[in-house]
Amino acid sequence: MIFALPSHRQRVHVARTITAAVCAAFVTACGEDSATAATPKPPAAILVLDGFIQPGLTSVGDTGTATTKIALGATTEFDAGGFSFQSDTALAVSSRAAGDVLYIVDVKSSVVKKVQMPTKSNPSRARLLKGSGGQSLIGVALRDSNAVALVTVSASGTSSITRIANAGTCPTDVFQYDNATWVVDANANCKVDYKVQGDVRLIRIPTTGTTRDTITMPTMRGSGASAIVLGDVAYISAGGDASFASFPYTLISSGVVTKVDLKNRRVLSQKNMPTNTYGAGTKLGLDGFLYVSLYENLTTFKSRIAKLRADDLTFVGATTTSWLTLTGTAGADVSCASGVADALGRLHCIVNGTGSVTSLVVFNAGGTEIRRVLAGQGGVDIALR
Amino acid sequence: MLFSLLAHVALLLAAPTSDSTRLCVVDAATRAPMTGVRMTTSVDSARIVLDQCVTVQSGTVRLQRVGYRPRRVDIPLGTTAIVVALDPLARPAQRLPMQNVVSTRTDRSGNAASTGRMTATQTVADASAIGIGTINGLIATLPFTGIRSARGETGLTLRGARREQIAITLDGMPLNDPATGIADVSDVPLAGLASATVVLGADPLGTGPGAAGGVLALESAPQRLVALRLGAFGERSIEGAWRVKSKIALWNASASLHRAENNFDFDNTASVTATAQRERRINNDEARVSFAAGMLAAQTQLAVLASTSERGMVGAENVHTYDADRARTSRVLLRMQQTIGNVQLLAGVRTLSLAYTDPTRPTLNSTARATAGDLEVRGAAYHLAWRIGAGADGVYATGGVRQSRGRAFAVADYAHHSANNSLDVGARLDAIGAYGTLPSFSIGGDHVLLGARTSPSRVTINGRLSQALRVPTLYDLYFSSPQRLFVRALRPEHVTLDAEVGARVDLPTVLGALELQSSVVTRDTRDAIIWFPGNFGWSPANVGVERLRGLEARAQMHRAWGEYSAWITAYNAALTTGPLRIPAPYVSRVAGGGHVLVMAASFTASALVRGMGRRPFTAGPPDAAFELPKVLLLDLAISRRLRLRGNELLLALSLDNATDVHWQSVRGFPSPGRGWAFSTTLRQLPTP
Repeated sequence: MIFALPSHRQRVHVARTITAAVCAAFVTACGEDSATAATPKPPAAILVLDGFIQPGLTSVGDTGTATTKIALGATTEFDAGGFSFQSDTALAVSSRAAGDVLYIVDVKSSVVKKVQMPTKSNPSRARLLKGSGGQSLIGVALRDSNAVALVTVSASGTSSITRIANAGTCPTDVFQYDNATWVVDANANCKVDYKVQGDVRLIRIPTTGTTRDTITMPTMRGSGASAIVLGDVAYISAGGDASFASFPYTLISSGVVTKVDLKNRRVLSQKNMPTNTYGAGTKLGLDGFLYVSLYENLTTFKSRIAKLRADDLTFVGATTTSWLTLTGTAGADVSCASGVADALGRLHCIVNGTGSVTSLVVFNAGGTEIRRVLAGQGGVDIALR
Repeated sequence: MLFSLLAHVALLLAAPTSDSTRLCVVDAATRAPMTGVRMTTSVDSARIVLDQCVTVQSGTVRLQRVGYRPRRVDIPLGTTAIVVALDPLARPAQRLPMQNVVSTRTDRSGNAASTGRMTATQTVADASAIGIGTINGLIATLPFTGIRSARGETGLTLRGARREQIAITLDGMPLNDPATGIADVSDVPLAGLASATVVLGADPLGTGPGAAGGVLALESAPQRLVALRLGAFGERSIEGAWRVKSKIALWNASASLHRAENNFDFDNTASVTATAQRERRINNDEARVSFAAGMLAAQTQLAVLASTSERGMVGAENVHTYDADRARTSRVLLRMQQTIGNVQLLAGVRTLSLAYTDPTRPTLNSTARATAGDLEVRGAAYHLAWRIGAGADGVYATGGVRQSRGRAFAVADYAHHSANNSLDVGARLDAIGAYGTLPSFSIGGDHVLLGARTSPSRVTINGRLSQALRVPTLYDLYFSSPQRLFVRALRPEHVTLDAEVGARVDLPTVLGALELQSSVVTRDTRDAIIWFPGNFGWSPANVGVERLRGLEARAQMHRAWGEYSAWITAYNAALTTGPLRIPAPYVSRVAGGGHVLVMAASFTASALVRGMGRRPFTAGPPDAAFELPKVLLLDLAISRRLRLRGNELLLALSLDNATDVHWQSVRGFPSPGRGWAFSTTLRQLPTP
């Protein structure tokens, strides 16, 4: 996942939220996009979020070079570093530096709806939840409000917001499980400088009753923690801790992926990302594996993708580096940012070149490039449709 | 503008006394009237000439001024008026005839080489008459200019160039900080200025690195005045200028205090609702103090310029997280010139400091400082002028940012001027830091095709080819957003070819004196330094090739009762990188403006119109969703001049954005709607 730096003014925010933005990661393809589909099919389309310069969603077919784009707004209004995609609905949020706005995109009809979040609430992520009465429900983690917003959108398009207060020090993600709302608390001082305060936590807030449960993720640090839910298991990821206050930057700890048993509310296992790496933007591939985007180090910031087994969190396909060896058609190393595999096991990822020109690059199961197509400019995140 | 220049020069030769000669001194290269010339006559002791012209008796006079070759002139008995031109030490000579000459063109371009290119000048006196009370306003009256401002700072663009590609000079002194590329003209007190001139196109010889798109040349004026201004949005300012002569020098000083609240109502176009929301801007105030002083003697000149300003760092229209953030910018510039024999020695030092404070997040407060020092020697022999110099600059900022480098350059400039032809050819060699030697050149010429250079009716053609460089230490955008800085090594930005051909027609008509100018321009820039976000370095990169093709035209008519003018630019400016073709952000394909000025008795009324077509606000491919709409702005003013015992009192009332257009010069940052200002200026008139 690439860091979004939308505008001159917003770099102010970005400079302060480097940790949070780098770690921005979204669950893709939940619900009916089963990772265990019987007949693997290629994706209908690949969606790339253009997070800066000209923010929008660029759609690329599984073949050909044609693209379509849904514009989302100026960089002063949109600075999302990622998006969630489910049921043809893409959700993204602008932070406090871009006006605290929830973007709801109906990819089928190309209709964009914006919902104003509370001023200076600093939204982190948005996710489709289960609504009732024909209404859509969206959960939005509000970092600077210590709260989660529940946005109800009626069939006519009107929206209303309720809040769950005291939802952690810096809530960065939200999901539902077993009649409760679960909040990922990055446990960082997001209101000021995103400085890590302690281990990442998972907070269970029951729909009825007042008893809350908190599950601590030992040694897991990062102001941009996020979650993937698969059945009774959640994969919580955080990119690590680093100091960006002065140059050269200092790495304090690398990212971690934690597997949590939601039913029994306990940590099952953890996987540390390779030494010296930073970031852990995690996606669930349609092939059932986890794909983690990270930076090789804080010097070159070379983007890498690691592949993990969902059951035991072991690295897959890695030789000496833990991350995937991806090569171009001529055999050269390819530095690939945010990526995820389709049901056929092909890895789709985005590469930003000179002028932030974004290419969608597809690799076969062996890590060799088999397709490269232009996919907009300023790409920061990817999802398969 | 030109009208006042003509009138001014004519006045220089007016009113000779019966038994004396009126002697006026001008710059031989630019024809600009000169002050501060030390004159020694055969009967008097040395004295300073204050106002370009002085009444003398026949005999021998010796004229001397720093930066110029001394000159001895014999004035025959019975001569009523004479213009003497002094040759600059560091410019190729162009001697005016020793006779009663009224120059029809005054070059106020400072060091910038104006031969073969479009220039346009606005005098402060003329601007004051149309209600202009700020230097930003002064520049806005100039043709071919574009100004962008998000929070009070001024970003000037010329000929489709980015603001960091424009050099700004004051009496030839570069105001851009070489470490950052920044110059904020708001730092210069308007009270101490005589004029502002735009010189379009790259200027490697006169100004050097940084002048890729053009030069804004400010000219100072030792004078005595005081000016008060009150306006809408809490604007209030007071300015003053003073000059005094001594036996050895002319001393001058000017200062300005300016405050504005700028808490205006605006339409929030970024609102999530279908219609724009009416809101009020806060934390948009600015307060500025600036000071300038100088000393001009026969062989020495000293200048100091200092300013400090604080402003609210208001965010975009839909963002409130910066509602308490503040920034303070301070600049100090010291400059010295010394004539030693036939060479001129110049030395200068500049410092710029920034402090950004965020009261809600004090741990994020940051500071940055850039300093630069320069030393230069100039000289000329016959038609060849030369300059050599060296300097160093450094940047220090919160977050461990430290960078410094050395610089050196050499320039050779050959000029030849005849009755109907001018030629200016030169080459420059820069050595900057670790970049090695970087050559550039310029060749420009004028030819009077029809008529004569001094005749009121003539057709002149011009052409120029130039190259230019820009080698910032630290990209200015990072400095202007003083947060955490990140330095990245960049290759020099190189204008491989900047060319123009044009024509100018001067024609007396029954409707008045008509002046027409037009140019076809092209500019190719390799390794353009562009900020593309999205990488961890947040640093700009050398990206692709920038190409500009364009047309500029201007017409102006002068009459006894006033003048009217119009200008238009049409540019196709784009960056090509890989498969992308990106229109230059904030450059309109078509822009234009014009003004009408009517004088009757002591009154002056004016209307100033500026228009900009649609213009992209991102560094992305053409997309109407990422363009600002076209805009047409109208400013109106009326003023009255009154004579009060050797002083002139100017009262001016102006209406800015009279049609109350809601617009943005920078996306997301609304500009004020209709505003008013009242100003009064008391100026001491030159002694006859």
